[in-house]
Amino acid sequence: MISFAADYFIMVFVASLGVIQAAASIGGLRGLLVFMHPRIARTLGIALAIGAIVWFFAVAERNINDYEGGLDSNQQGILFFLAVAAAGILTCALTSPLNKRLRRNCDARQSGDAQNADYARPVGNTTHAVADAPLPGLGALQYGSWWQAMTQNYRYWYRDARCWRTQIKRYFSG
Amino acid sequence: MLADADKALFLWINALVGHAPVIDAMMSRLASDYLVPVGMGLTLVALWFVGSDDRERMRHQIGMFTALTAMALSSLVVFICNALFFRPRPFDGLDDVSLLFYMPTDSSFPSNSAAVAFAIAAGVWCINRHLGIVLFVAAAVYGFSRIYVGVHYPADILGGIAIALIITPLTLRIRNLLMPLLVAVIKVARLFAIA
Repeated sequence: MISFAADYFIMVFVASLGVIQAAASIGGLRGLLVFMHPRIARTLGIALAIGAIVWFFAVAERNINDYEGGLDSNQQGILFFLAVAAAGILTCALTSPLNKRLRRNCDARQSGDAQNADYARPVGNTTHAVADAPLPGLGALQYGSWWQAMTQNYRYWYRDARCWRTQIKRYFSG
Repeated sequence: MLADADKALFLWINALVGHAPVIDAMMSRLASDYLVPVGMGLTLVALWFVGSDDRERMRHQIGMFTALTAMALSSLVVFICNALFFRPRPFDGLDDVSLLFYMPTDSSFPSNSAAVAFAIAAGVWCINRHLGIVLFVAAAVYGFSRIYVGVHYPADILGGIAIALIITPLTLRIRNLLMPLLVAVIKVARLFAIA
């Protein structure tokens, strides 16, 4: 059972890594890409996902009842969630240092277009109106790495830390 | 009469086993508990990240929650049906069944696999028609493969589909009621740049 569960976890984990790369390239989330070229990222992602599934079915017989070593639906659900979460964490950890220079490049490119620069610039450098805009979440990864998006979010909250109630109200009502 | 037709249709489909080993092997993989469900799960993962802007991404993310809720509720309804009514599997009730799968011990009707797969497909169809159709086709192939390998009657699959198609509109209503909560959850996730 443990080896079956481990195989299932590895399959979903690797396939999720691939799916995240493919989906990030389609969604334009360059901060999550290991390879900057979208077509390479997409091809690599799809190959990883298909490869993981092929490997899972190639190494052993998988049509096994849950009381004979297979997984029941609850175990499947939990392992699937954990594997996807692990793949997401690894993607963020791996791409944050890799895409450190992405925001700097975007800043330089967008310097003539201040209106669209709210995702790209650190909050401390923006006007008050731009800083008050709702946090973009995954949208920030179009212009920077996950770590840069997190530090931008941190600045947004830290700036008015004393009036955190207003800050929370404004964020969730916006 | 309907039960006889159901058995006759099952035997006709199951009689295809053994004619082409390649198709048998393919159907055995397709009927697996791990191929189509994992594929559908990965599609939901992809949906989480895809979108041209924040609004579209949020629509997809809410759609993902809807599909998961529809899947969970369909599974719950199947569980209740199984507790109330037990139908033996084809290999228990009929002679000359070619079985390409392990022997499940739970009730044959309604099919949990079909209910879950069609619930996810219907949930996705509500937010993305093209992707929804692809998932409906995958769910249909999954359902057919379960008959082919000998673990379900056609009526079991139709029962699962009916449950999924009844539950999904209910899930949409629940989603509308819980929309502020869903939006708040997604906004919290945005704080961590994961939604």
